[in-house]
Amino acid sequence: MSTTLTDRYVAAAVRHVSGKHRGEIDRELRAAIADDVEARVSLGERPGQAEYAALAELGDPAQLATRYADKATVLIGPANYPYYAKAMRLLSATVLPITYLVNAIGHWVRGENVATAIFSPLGVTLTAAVYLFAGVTVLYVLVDRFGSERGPGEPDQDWKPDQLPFSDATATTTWSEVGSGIVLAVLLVVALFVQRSATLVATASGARVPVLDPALWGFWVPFFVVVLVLSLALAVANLRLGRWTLATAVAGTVLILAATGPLAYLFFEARVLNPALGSVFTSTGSWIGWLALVVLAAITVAVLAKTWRHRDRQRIEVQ
Amino acid sequence: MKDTDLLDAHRQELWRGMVVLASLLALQQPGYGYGLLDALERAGVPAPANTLYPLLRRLEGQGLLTSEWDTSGTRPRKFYRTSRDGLRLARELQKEWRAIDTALSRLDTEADPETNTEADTELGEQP
Repeated sequence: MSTTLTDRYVAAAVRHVSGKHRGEIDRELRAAIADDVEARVSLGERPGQAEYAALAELGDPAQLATRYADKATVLIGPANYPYYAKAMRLLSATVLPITYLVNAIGHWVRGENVATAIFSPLGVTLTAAVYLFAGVTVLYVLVDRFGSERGPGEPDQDWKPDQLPFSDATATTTWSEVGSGIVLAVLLVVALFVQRSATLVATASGARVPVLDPALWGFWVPFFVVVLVLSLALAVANLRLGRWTLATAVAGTVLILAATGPLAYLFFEARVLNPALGSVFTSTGSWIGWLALVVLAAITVAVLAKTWRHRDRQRIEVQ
Repeated sequence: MKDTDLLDAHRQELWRGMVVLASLLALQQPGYGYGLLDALERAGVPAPANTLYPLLRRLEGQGLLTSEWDTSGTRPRKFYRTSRDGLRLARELQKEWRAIDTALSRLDTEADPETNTEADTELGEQP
């Protein structure tokens, strides 16, 4: 028995249908196609032409199969897409520049020429971008499929006006911010450990050494990791509360000061980077120290302003 | 032409939900896939085969249609019939349809009574 166009069409259509319904749909489709062919032949078409026309009218079998399957044909539905896009933007804007800069500094410290320092980190950054894109996408696909009781793509039915962000929209903690924060924190901790063994930088004599001063592991690294974890816990708490309370605002203030204060001190004392890297990094009050001081001060002021201004505004709006 | 594309897209959207109602009403008399397609077409309901066949299965899954294979003819055919639940739903949907028509006529402040009656008879002839 030779395979007809109809056989090929039906086989292509039922290939993706689950086993339980396959036989039934197969029979049903064949009957429907035969009916159509018969009707066309009775109107004077040649059998071959009639079959061709009938199948053409049914259209792409893959599309027919998805209609039979009645399954979600989107990866990330409209309910989660905004958070996905936001997380992607946020992570791209932070992880990629950091990856580029760290690598560029690594090349520069190794004493390579400016062109190498500028161009060779591009490859690593591109790889990081691909991993980031794939990782975040997979994460949100999982959230979309299994994240809540509502089906893929359905909007949140339990939404209440209480969930509205306060007018300072950037000040409210959102899931995408917390999600991005957790990803960043994990990357940071991984980077901390990786730089101990697989380092990118080398001293002038060519020996590969960790970027960070190994002495920091005694107290400061565990301390900062604890502060980081507490900050994430606070962000999650904020998310649950939906707003800053006095307690969380104070906790936030303590945490940001606990993070930036000691870090600024350590940078200024030149105790952050490995002394083996050379004297630029080891002298107290070097330009790196000053730069770190300025950046950390700016971050602290920004975070504190955001926390307290948001809390003030919220009090006014609630009253 | 862009305008006809737009019209087609909106018209399809408008008819999409109607196909369910049309099928439930038509299948009070048992019918098979191609026969229904033909009947709908003759009644003026645009329903492409590749959406109608999966739709019939879905309605059957929801208990609105029952089905039975008839092997007495030249080839086996699956006959669908509107179930009691299906008919009840169809009646509800018909009510909705009339409500939509009334709501639209009320909203259409521009139309004068004459054209309104014309539109009514046109719609009345279609099912």
